[in-house]
Amino acid sequence: MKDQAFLRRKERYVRNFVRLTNKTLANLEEIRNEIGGIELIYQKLSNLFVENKLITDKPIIGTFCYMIPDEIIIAAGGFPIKLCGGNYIAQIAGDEIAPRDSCPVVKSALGSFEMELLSIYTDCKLAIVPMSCDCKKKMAEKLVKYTKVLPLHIPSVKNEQNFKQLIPLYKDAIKHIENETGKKITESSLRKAINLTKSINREARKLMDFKKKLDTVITGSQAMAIVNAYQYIDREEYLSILKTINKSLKVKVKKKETMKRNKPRILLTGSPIVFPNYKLPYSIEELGAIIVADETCAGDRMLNDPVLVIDKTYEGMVRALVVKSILPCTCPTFSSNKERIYRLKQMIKDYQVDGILYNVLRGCIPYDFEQKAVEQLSKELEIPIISIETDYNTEDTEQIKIRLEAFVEMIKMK
Amino acid sequence: MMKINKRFVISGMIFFFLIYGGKLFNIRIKDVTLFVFNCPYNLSTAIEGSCLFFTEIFDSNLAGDITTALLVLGSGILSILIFGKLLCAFICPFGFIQDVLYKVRGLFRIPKIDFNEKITTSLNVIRWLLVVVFFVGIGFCTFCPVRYVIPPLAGYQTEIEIGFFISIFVMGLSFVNERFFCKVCPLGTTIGLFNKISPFKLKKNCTACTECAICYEKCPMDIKEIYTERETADVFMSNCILCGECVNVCPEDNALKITALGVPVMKSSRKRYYKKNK
Repeated sequence: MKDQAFLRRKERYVRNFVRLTNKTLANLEEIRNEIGGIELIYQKLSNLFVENKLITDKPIIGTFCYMIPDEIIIAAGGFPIKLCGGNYIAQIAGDEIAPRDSCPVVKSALGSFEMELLSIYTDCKLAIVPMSCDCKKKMAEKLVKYTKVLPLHIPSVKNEQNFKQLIPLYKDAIKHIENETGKKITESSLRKAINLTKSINREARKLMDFKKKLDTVITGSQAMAIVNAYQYIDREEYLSILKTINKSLKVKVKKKETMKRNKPRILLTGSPIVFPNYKLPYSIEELGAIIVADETCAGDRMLNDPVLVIDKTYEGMVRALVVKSILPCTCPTFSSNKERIYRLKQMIKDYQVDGILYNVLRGCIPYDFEQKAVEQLSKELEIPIISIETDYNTEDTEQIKIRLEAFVEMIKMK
Repeated sequence: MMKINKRFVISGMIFFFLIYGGKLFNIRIKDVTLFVFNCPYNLSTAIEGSCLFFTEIFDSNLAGDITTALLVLGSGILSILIFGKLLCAFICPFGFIQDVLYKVRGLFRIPKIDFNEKITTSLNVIRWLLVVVFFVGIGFCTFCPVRYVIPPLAGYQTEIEIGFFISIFVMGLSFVNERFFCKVCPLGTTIGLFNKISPFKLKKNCTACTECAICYEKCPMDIKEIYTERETADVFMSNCILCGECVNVCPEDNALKITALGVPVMKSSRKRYYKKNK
């Protein structure tokens, strides 16, 4: 049994956790740009993170990173949830478990498990951890204390030999998931799951296309919350919410209810930005810029690439899912990651970007490494870049704002 | 369900015209050939393939008649210059037969067989060897698999030689592997030599590509360069059959396109992707 001291500590953590989440939600709701349907997203986020309600009666299968396809969990009757943490309070709780220099995403996930902050962590039946970066690797070891863990090997080099190894590994993961949910994945259930995510992907793409237009109808923080919420909402429900949002955005475009046009258009890239850590996007938008493009892995990258099933058998579908989970992934944990630079280059063109905001979470070495390459790209394209290294703490917000303000002003002067 | 696309319908129509045109409509275009495997042993074909005349350039009765020889061989080369790789995608009857076989496999849900990179590389070597064999004139027809497929389809018997067994082997493989014979086809490779001056080309925008490899997964010829190429726009490899599947499945805007005389006729885009891959 947990002792009194633990419960008292937990109560304190939960109180602050909720306070912080509420602050982010309030910030989001304050944005003066009404979109029909977005309140449903906030409602869902608040249900989960503030009221800590049970969001599903399906068995929860937790995942990390981009590399675990949700389809296999949905097809097995599970509820896929990304366990990557975004809360500063959880990060503090995790500080005691993870070393000082590990990244806040991991600290915060570990902290949430340790302090039993949310039902998704306490009810998690199985956590699938891809062996992407070093922090995730060691986190898998620590997580064993709290839940069943399945480490999934991800090769650092994308080549044929490595890829061939992967398919049996994913099939093994499927078996683990089936054991937890007690339901076998059949060809038809997998096809249904793939079709569901396919429709979500299609709607998400529509949302991204709205951001490409010079007449913006949605702010980056709002779009980020919408895309971020994908991880925490039942997928069918999410699809219907997304459709509502896209419809109301379409109406807004038609009625020309657009925002001011001369706002500097920012591309956000770098380490993941997980709800409720919207410090950077919210601050820069408060200062008069707008985030139009989002390349982070908890953001648009998560929903950007479609799955294409070529061989319609079970084997073929699993293969298609593995292809989608590994090959287009621009995670810097892959040894050679030129794809990301090309992707950014294309995004800068597509979204007509004026400046790049590069987010490095303290301890996120892979993204830190690639910062130089992105700086090189910004020089080549003559687009200013600002790199911010921070974690989830709220104390440095004002300092960051000063730097961001200078950056935004500089773009405006150009 | 079997997916029927435009290319399949058009190539099917051309197939019936070429194979049964002579019999049904009495169309026989003499002394003009197309640079495809349309076996001339099918005596009632509408337009003969130039395969026989190139491989048996000295044996056939062309040797005596210079004008006919020039006409037959010249029209073959001209067809390369005009149609380029469209010969493979739309006109070649043997290509269509392989497409049908592969689609039937899909109907019966028999798993396909993918070749790994090692086999693909060795097939590439065999391909060039076959080109040599084809043009030195040591009787490609004796072991040509097409000879045991197209003439029987048109109602002509052919004597059983070693090619019969090769034919069974090739047909069996093309059942489980999309367009297996095209992977080693000497004619397709020869057409590939003219890719640079062909009016039809496959081009890639290397920045827009995300290397998601969907095109590679779909490509019947297993051309890896289609997704790994990052330097030049030219991804029109000598074994490409210009089927356009990569453009159909590419989810990125303007990443891949097929041009005719420099004008894009097919462009990849997300919109197209959703339309074509429901």
